[in-house]
Order: sequence, then C-alpha cells, then structure tokens
Amino acid sequence: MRLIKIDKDENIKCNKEIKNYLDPDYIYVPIEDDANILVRNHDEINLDTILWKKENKEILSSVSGKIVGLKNMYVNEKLKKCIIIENNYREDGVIKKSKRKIDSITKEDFIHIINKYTNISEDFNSNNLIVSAIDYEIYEMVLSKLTSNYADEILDTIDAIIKILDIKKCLLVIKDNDSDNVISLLNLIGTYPNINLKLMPDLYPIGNKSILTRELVGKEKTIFLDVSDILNILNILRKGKPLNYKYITISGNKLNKTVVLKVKLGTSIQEIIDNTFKITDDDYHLVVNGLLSGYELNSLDTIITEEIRSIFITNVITDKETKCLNCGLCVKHCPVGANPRTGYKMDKCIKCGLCRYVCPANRRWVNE
Amino acid sequence: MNKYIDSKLTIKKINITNLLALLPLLISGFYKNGIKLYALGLVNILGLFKPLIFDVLGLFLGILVPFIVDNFIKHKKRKFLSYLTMSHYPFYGLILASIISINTPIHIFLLVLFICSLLSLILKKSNVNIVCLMALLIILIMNLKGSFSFLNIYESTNNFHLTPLDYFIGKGSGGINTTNIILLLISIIILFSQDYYKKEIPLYAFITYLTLILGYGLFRNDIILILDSLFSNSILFSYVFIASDMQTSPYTKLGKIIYAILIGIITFILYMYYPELAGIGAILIGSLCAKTIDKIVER
Repeated sequence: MRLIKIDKDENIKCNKEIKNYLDPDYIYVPIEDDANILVRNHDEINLDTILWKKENKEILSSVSGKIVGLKNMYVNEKLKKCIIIENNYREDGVIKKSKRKIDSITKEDFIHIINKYTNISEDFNSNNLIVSAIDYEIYEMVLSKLTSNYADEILDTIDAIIKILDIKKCLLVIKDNDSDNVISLLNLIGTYPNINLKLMPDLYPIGNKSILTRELVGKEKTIFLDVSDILNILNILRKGKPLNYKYITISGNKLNKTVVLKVKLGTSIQEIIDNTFKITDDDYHLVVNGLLSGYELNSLDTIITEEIRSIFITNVITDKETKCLNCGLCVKHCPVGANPRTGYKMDKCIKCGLCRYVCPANRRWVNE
Repeated sequence: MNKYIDSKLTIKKINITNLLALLPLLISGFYKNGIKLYALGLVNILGLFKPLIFDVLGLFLGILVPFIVDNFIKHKKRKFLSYLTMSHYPFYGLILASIISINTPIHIFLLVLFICSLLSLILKKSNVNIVCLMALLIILIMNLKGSFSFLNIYESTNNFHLTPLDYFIGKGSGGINTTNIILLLISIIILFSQDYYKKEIPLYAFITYLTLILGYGLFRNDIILILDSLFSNSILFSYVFIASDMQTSPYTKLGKIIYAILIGIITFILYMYYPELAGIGAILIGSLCAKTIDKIVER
C-alpha cells in the first residue's frame, strides 16, 4: 500500500460538534436539461411537492414556500439554472406516513426506488457489499459522526439490504483509530452475523471508493455505499422519499472550531457562511470537498448538493514552486501508480492530490 | 492552482538531513587524516586542518556558486546563506571534499569544484552526476601529475595487514571522509529512514557488487581481495551518498532497481582495471542512463 498518513494542521480544532441549519431563507433546486418542470413562478408549494420530473427521476421540494423565480447558481462547479423557493418556515404538507418494514421489499422495487430518488449508480447485481464509514479527506468527520449517532439504524438497514439483494459478503469498514465507533460497533455487530466489521488504517486516500474496494476485494464486482447512502436508503424504504438534508463538515484554520452541519439540500453557501459560523480572518479561501482533493469556490452562489461533503475556510500555502527535484515521491505515493510529471497512467488519476501534498518542491501537479 | 495543505518535507529539510547524515563521517575523516597524522608528527598545523579545510571550502563554494549564478547571471536576489539549505550544491561540495584523496592539492579541488558547479548551473545538465564528474576530473589531473593515491602519509609509509574489523573502523584506503564503515552505517540508518531517500539504489547496487565480488574472490580464493574490494576506494560511500542523488537517478521503483544493478555491474568491471575510479565511474555512466531507464520502465 502506498497510502500515507497526512500531517495534521495544529490550528484546526476538531471538536465534532453537530449544528443544524434547516431553515434557510431560500432553497435553490437545479433543473436538469429536458426536465419536465411541474411548478410555475409565484406558486405556493408544500414540502415534498414534485418540482420536476425526468424519465424515472423526481425532484421534491425540501421546504414549503413560494416559487420566486429562476437563478443561475453554481452546482458542483458548473453554472446551472435553479428554481428559487422562498421558505415560509412552516413545513406545510408534512404527511406522517406509517413506517414500512424495510426488508419486505423486492430486489426490483429496491433498484427502481433507489434509481428514482438517489444518484447512487451501483450495479446491484453484485454479491459483495462494502459500506464505508471512512471519511474521504482529513478533518472530514460526517461519516464517522453518523456512524456513532445512528449505528443501530445503519446496521439494521445494511442487514435488510443484504436480504433484499441476496448479498453473500458484506463489510462495514471503519478507521482503526476511530475508537468510539470501533467499541460501539464491536458491541452491536454480534447480532448481525451477515455483517463483517473491517478496520482500516488511517491513511490517505483510504476513503476513496476505488482504493478501498481494491484493498478489500481486489477486482471483484462490489456494491460500494457509505453510511450516509445507507441512511438515505433507510428513509426512502421507510417513508418513500429521500432525505432532503445533508451533513457536511465545516472546518479550516480560519474558523475557531470544526462543526458538522446538518443543512437542507439546495441551501446557498453564501447563506450558510452569513448565518452559521464566525470566520477569524478576512483573508480566506473557500475550499469544497477537502484540502487535498477539493476545489476552490469561484462564487458564493454555490448550492449544497449530494456531492458536497465539506467546506473548508482556510488560507493558501504561499511557498513558491521550485524546479522538480526528481525525488519521485509523487510517483512513489500515487495510489494508482500514475506519474503526474510525464502523464503516465494519468487516465487512472483519482485526483486525490497526494502528489501535490508530498512534493517538497511545491509543484502543483494535478489539474494544472 | 492553490495548495492548502502541505507535508512537512521541504527542500530545506532534505538538505539538512543529508548534511547531518554526513557529519559523523566528516568528524572521522578529520581524525584519520588530520588529528592522527598531526599527533604522529607526520604533518604540520596546516596538515592537521587539511580535511576540515576541504570540507569548509566545499561547503562555501557550494553556497557561493549558486549565489553568483542567481544574483549576477539570473538576477534573482537571494540571501547568501539561504543557499546553505535551499541548494544541493553545498552538499555536493561536501561530498566531493569527502571522496577525494587527502593528497589532492587544495587549488585543484577549488578550481574543479568552482568551474564544474558553475557550468552545471549555467548549462542545467541535470542528467550528469556532477559530483562523479568532478571527482573523476580530480583523479585524472592527479594521475597526469603522477601523484594519485588514496593513502595518506601514514598509510603510504607503513605496511599493514588489515583485519575485517580494521575496515569497519576506517583503516581501509579511500577518500578523506569515506573509510569508516561503522559511521557509514549510521548515515545509512539516518538516510534509509527518510521517505525521500532512494534506498533501493544503494541496496541493490551493493547486493549486485557484493555478489560479483564474492564470486570472483571465492574463485580466486582471496578473502582479502573481497574485503578490500568492498570496503576501500569509497565504493560504499559513493553508493550511499552519490548514486542516490535525486537529480541524476531514476524515480520509478523498477528504474531505481535497474539503475542500481547496472551500477553494481559497472563498478565490478571498472574495479578490475581502475579500482580507484570504480564507484564514481560506474555512477557517472549510470547517471547518463537514468532518464532513459525511467522512460523505458514507464513505456
């Protein structure tokens, strides 16, 4: 294994606090091309109103309120047209459905419902299942936190999925230094004989899907989910709708603490920054999805999507790039064996950022 | 593209670690070729400090040359002392001071070091191992003058029958700071624990050379030949400090192994004809092939 331990920044404090931000003033819902939009401007809508449909897919409103127009917002780095919903904070239209038994569903229905409400694009015909509770990047702590808060639900749901999909081998993977989760899961796992707990070293990028799969099952076909997917699936199976919120890590050396924020999908990052935390310095950069592999925000008009795991408010390392030393550390530590200097195997690059991190000459190898 | 997190490994740390790894050998070289000779009354006060003079001049020129190139040719303003940790040339200077014979005239050392470093920095020929080239030039000049020998004045005036232990405590012949194998082992421990150090190179080069020498020595039934071939003429030192030079060695794992085996074989061949050139000659030839080896491996 060529993975490495990342040196932690002592200025970043990890106190694992969970905060809610579930009542945003506005929600922005991105519209896919060729989607059939079912609402119009100035419409009053309820929670879970279907906003648009496309083939099998439906997008529901995560708040109740009023449609107030369209706006171009950044959605995963791309500018997209979004429906703006002004929140009336009333959560109108909440229907308390009775909870369904989650393991009574058939495999076909399961696949149909997952494709309808989520972006999970796994091949559910595989016999192996890996469920990861390992956060991808350093300082990210959502998966670890969800595992410690919802261990019972997660294990129940995994057990149900095993039965629904007829899984032969299931691994629940956590970091070996995640001591709280190791202890609690070891106590619980005995009642779930189909689930095997697997501890992995705290190395980067072990949380990456392809790396973790390679380390655990090699090239075998495997369904890969993380614990947030499991909780989303639980909600879909029980209530027939996906979660309309998401947990993200807010961290960085320009913040006085690290928090896990529970936030509605479609909330703008501008609103989160204005209302939820104090930044200790005016000179900061906003980095989404990790300090190593993430990207810097072009605009605060960016919305929270399923793909966003974390936001870092941080400074930039100002050390100048110098001539390549030919030390070969970038090649030595590349988890896929690529060479960013010559482009060798770069088609396999997972953009983990390790080559940039280890480079003593401060070369910015990836995404140049 | 911006960078938000960085490992603790910097060029400064690499250079300081390399210098620290060399330090025990510098002290042992000063004792063997300075203090001991002075105590025996074989050299004067200048002779006492001659090993240190080489070290200090090597270090100084290693700072001065890149300073001159940057400030007067490239017009980049930097502090003189920053080159101690930011440039590889102080380390190169010290390595050259370590690998040459104590009999080398100081002016030849200075001239070769200054001119070669300057040309290397201006021409940017990063595929030639500059230390080997400089050491080779010095040996050739000394040979032309007919005065080349690795033996110091005490060793050349006495006959010795060295035991295996003698080689380990620095009694073998070789460069000024290169003969003490025990202290070299300490340097190896320091360097092998570093992530950036290309440990495959000295390891495989030594294994290859050892295998060939063992075969040859056993065939000739000559144990002294084996010991002498392994522990004299600065071959081990060259493998540890010069062959693993970042700029002029391959970076792919297989490339490093091929390069090391190549060096081991060339060392053995050269040793048969020019023992004092064996290590540096092999590395010089190897360094010329390093980039090609990497290209072939990646292909």
